[in-house]
Amino acid sequence: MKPFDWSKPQKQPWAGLAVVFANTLWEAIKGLWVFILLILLKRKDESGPDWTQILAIIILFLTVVSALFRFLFFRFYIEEGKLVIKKGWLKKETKVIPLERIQTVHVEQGPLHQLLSIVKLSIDTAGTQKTEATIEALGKPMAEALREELLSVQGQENKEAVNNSIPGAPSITLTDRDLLKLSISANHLEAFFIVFSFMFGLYDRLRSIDDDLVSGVDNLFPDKAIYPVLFLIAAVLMVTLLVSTARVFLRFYNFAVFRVNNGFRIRGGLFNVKEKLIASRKVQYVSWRANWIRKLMRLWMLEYHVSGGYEIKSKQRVHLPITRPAYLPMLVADYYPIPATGGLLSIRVHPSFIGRRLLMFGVLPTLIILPLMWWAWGAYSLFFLLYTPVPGFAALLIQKKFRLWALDDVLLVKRGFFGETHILLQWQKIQAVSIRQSIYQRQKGLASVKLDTAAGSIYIPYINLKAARELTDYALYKASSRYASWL
Amino acid sequence: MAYLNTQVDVSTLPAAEEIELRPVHGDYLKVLRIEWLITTLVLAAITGLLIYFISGLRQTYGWVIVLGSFLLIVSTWLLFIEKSFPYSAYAIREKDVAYRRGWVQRSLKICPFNRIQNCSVQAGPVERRFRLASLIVYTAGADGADLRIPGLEQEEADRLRQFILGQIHAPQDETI
Repeated sequence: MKPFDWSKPQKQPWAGLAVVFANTLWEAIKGLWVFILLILLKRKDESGPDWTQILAIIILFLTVVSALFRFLFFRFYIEEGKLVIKKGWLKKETKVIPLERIQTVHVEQGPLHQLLSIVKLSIDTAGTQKTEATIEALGKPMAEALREELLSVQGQENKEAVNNSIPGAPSITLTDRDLLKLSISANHLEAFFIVFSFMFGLYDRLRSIDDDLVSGVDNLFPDKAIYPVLFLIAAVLMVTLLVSTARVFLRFYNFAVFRVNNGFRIRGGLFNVKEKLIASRKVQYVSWRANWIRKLMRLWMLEYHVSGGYEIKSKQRVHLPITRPAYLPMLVADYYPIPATGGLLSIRVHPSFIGRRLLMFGVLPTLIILPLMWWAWGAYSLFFLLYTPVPGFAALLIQKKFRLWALDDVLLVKRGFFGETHILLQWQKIQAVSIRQSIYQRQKGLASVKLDTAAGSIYIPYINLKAARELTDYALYKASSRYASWL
Repeated sequence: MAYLNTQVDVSTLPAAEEIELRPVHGDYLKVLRIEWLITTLVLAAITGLLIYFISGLRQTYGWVIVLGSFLLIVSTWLLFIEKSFPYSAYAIREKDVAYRRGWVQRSLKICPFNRIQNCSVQAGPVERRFRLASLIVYTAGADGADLRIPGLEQEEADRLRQFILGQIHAPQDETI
């Protein structure tokens, strides 16, 4: 690896032009899709010019020019301990990021990157403002060197990627069988409803546009009312399973977790290979959950909740599928060992939670909406009564399952309704505490507590007021402690 | 010690329920009322325009719904302002800052000095007329974990800001 001189303005490699072009084209299509669709759908006028071709040529030309400018005017260099990124031709933009503020450097490879053997670098900072930066294309050795350079400024203890260029044997990998297990147990219900409503809408629209098209399906069944629906459900089930499998494979293909000095390095993905560094100190709290199928199969989805705006967007959240029970304590222990809870005092949700939820989210909405629906649809609106008990039923399951254990250093929450979620939080990661009481809760001596952390909030509903006060006092005591750091 | 499994006896810790809170300045109620009045006038103008220009509303009973919902929203809002004002209070303790608010849903939010990232004073046009300001305490918390204490005298707000900034000046072992 030849040394790079980072103080001189660097360009992206020429292969990067392809990536920049692809991005620009994608943006153009996203911005103009309505227009493009309109032109494409317009019947071709024999006499006039072919608008489709002219449009395509114009868009392509503008895209090439814009991509070329974007590519040619992109420079980055390191100056006086700061990473400087300059871009733009008419509208110049300069980003300056002090190196000590850089938290992590993520490496990502889309299909095009893989083809050209280049990588994309995203730089994540600790700021609350949006100070993230990306470099679309870099040669692999150059990217490794830059990452090394960017992270080298931080003190040895802060440095996240000391042995980065030598990935040891992967600590955890997934076999094809694991991937299949994950696919089968994925949350089908959610996917099912998405696919079902989409296909039902499509079927309905097709029927309204062209009756002949769907009559094929309708003629398969003598009774027109119900069978097409059953057929649809079966078809949707198949598609759902396929979609779930595809989603799992896209995300977790070739998945591996490596142990690095102060955290984990996680990589995976089929077409879009992502590699992330999780610094242990940045983890605010850990959760692991399973839906009821996964619980039976002893599969867990572990999530490290990391501080920083970049990670909180759900796209960037870090999920680790756990396919062997032994992995779970091992991975959680990096944050804090899972405490044994046998025989310990636990805080539970008060049973009145069920009735209140039923009243506020079931009965009250029904009283308001039902008369309106009756006015519009008549007796059909009685179907709405099927919904009324649902919030109460959900609350019943939540109340039954909820447990909170407050221990010396950590807080462990177990909750869920069909599935199960565990949350492990160190007191010192708490940023602020709120204790809340509605009129009803004030009368019954109950309260809800909200614990804010830099990676999101944890809400504890309807507990005994004394327990809520103890939680609040202890949380503040631990967070105010002189040596408690959250980062 | 009835609920926690901790070695520290919780009853010996400073208790949040015993905080002596100071109510926000009485003039702040006037600020809230004036802000309510201004918004109400704007909303009334919009409602009037809707009823005037959409003829369909006048022919049916649509205008009753529009007018009714306008009155309902505006009066409920005023009710919440009047009812929750006496409860709004704040406190600066040895190691944290607290703010209490609400009427139907009451909340007490406490933020340790240790976790405060920054602190600023803001004053809107109406607040300025009454020489009032809001103190805003920023934490690193993700969703709305910032603390906002309105209705402070300007000098008091500045003083509190200086005090809190003084309390947070020493980050212990991290550079960030």
